[in-house]
Amino acid sequence: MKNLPLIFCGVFFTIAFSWTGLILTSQIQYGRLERATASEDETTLYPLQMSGAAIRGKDVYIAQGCLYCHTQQVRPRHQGGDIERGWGQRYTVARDYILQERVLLGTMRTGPDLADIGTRQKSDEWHYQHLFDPQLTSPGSVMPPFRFLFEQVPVGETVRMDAIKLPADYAFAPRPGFQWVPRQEASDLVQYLHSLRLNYNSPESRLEE
Amino acid sequence: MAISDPTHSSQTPEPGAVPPARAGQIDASLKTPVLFFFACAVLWLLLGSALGVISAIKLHAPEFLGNVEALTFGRTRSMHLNIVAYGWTFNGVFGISLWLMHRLGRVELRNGWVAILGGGLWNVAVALGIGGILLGKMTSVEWLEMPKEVAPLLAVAFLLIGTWNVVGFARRAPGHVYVSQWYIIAAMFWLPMLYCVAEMMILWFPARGTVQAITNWWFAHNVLGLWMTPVGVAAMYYLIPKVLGKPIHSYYLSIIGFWSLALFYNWAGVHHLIGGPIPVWAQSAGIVASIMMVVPVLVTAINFHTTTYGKENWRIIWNSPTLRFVVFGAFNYTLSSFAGSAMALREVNRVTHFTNFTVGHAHHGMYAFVAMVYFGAMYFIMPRLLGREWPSAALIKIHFWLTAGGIFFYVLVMSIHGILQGMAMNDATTPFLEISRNAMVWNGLRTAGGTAMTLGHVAFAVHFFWMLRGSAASRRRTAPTLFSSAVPVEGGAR
Amino acid sequence: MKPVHDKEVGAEENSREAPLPCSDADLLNQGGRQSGREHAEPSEGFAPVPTIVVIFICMLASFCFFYLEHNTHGFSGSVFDNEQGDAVAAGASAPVEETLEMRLKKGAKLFNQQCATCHQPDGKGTPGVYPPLASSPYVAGEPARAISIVLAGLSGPIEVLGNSYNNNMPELGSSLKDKQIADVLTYVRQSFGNQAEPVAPEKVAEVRKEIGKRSPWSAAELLKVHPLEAGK
Repeated sequence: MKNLPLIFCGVFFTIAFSWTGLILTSQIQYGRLERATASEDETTLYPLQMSGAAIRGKDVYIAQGCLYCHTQQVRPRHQGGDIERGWGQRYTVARDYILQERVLLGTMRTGPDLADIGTRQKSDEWHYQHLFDPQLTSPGSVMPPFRFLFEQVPVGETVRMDAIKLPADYAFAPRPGFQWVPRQEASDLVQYLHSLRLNYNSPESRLEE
Repeated sequence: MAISDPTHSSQTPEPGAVPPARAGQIDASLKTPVLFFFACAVLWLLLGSALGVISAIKLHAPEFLGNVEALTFGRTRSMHLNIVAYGWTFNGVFGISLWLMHRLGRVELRNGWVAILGGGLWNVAVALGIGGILLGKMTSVEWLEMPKEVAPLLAVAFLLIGTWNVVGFARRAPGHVYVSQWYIIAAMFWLPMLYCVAEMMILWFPARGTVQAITNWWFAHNVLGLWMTPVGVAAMYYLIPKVLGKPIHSYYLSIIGFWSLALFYNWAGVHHLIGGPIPVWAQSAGIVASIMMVVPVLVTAINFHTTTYGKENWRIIWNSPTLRFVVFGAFNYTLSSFAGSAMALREVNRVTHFTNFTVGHAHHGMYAFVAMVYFGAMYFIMPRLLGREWPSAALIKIHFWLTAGGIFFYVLVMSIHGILQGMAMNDATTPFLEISRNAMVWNGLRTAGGTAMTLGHVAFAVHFFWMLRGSAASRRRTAPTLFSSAVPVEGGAR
Repeated sequence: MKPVHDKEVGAEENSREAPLPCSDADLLNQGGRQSGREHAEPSEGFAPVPTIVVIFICMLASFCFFYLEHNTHGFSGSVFDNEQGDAVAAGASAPVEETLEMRLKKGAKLFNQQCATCHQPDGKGTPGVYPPLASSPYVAGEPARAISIVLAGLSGPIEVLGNSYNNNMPELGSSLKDKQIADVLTYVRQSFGNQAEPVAPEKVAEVRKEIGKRSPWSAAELLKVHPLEAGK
């Protein structure tokens, strides 16, 4: 083999072959999927559009690298314990991701899957506490704290509704007369987490009872 | 295409023979660019491994640097990956391939400043990209974390460096083309195509839905398979027969190995999405390609291990710094590739997917194979560029044992933990928090392995710059630095 | 056997080769070191491909064709579960009488999904943040009290086992069915050292009807309707 054009042709063919077979074929087959109605509800199209706060929250999720420990995909029953664990009532399919400009499937589960976290954990307060210091809600977790997404503000006349409730003699207690409150990033991030819901039927995958 | 070549070698007994005078001139022409790439590679390696250790510590001490936003786990991990990939490995590839291409083409490098210009641009772009990750401009697309704005810079830099490799090939002296040259030339064409398609379809004009994910893994897996692996294999194909002084076992096996790698590796990346939201046929295509990857790995393994077989060869391998690293890499290429094929099977994947097993496997391929072969190649190339020897056999020994021991321990820990983790995750009665707590001990062991490797890198870096500065110790040596100056007499030990 | 300390390769290998020419240019270039230290550039041998390897490759390829034929579902773009179709047959078995053991198992899974993030897998809660369920008087005794909390949630200060807590528990009545609430409460009432009788789904339905849709309880409000049992 000493012919440069020949080697180049072979090299080009192999990569073009895989690109056509995997990517172009996929693009043609399911790259233009549209939203669909769930069968019992003829009026709403799923997946839902995200709110503005949730879209901003997704940027926080991306910038902090949450993806490196949390997946957003639910495997079918025989391919893993995902459904049995309650990470979703059905497996995820291509249509669930069509509205996402960046698809954040993830490949590592140092933490649990988040594809359906919006139906599993509805409490803002839990999320704030968990982000502020995971040891508060989940002692022994390996998740890092995201205290830098919070700030201390003076208590003033009223305690803010979203101020974090902390146990007595806590290591990161606020200064006297101050309270820890989520910054914009933290509240956006929680809105994004709330928007992650797998609670609708898709033509390709139905919710299990 | 294959069959016409053998006649050539029957005419001349040593088709690849380069008159030593030429070799000296060729090395001299390559000196500055290759040294530049190697020096950058070593500096990035130090930074990358430090970030690797920081990330590892964070996985058993989450409060470690917990208040620093720029150094939160997601970012240190991404910086680690991008630095070792685009900083260390790419610079290593640039240096090794440039040297091999001209040595094997039997021509001097002309206008080396173009390659240096490209190299400078490349390293500035990587530094900017890493800075972007640090400041939160990360994309969270695996293997493409650097902000998309640096992509054009990287592309231009690559164009300069890659072109100079191809030009080197085009200008080669007439005669035989050796297998290493095929691999390098192919890699030089593959990478820009992969990178441009991935940048376009994921970051600049994103494809819709999970087509993006397929593109992502087509790219990410092929960076290893069609860029780092080919150059690693090329270096092994060069260094093993070169130092042993015997021909590689079989030309025909080389050809099968090359084309089957080109054909199958391309499709294998989808196995990162098994069970995911892509149609079953695409997953199965990735699985089948991963199984077929046994073919190139097997024939390449036969070629290498048959060439190195024999007691006398083993003595040389054990004694030569170059070959000790390279043959360690060759073994791990075989091992990690077979493991990779097995992991693609649905039955295995349901346990190992999403666990530390995969992380361990990534390091097995990227480090125990790729990095170790690159170390070996650097040990071979540096004395030829500088015209002096490595100053200290002891430092090479420390480097070898810390890195080889470290990666062995690391892969072992990650594989065992990965299996335990995967089985626990598939058992819904085990609370997730318990799995998380159990991981602490294993992650601590993982830090120990990573620290050993990092210390090995420090030894290497010290040695590298010591040699570069031209210490007295390195000038004083008149013969290659080997592990043992008093080799046991044959028949004495065994 | 000669020691090899003087060359990177065995000395005998070098002596096998013809002495390499050594020009002045070379001596200038590399201090003369280049000449003796290297073998010629590598070359290939031409050993034939072993038959067994060819056979093995053919077997592997046929396996892959077989695999593709059985695992691609006609290259459909809408099949995401490789065992689609098989699952229906498996799930069609006749319903069996549900034992307490099965209910506890279901309850445990639900608990790990829905409750353990706050009350912890061992039911002990988190000191100062989330109250425990283990030996809690709110859990034991009259099931209607616990059912009411799960259905409508509970917010504000509460004292459990001598410690006070101030947090919000979200309602689970809209996402969990009566049977599920019964199972998970049965599990809680019989785990972590608790020993109370199982909860029937009918009881949950009854309480749900009674309280209807409402905002989360406060502890005082709840205790007015369902006071803690004496002696607890």
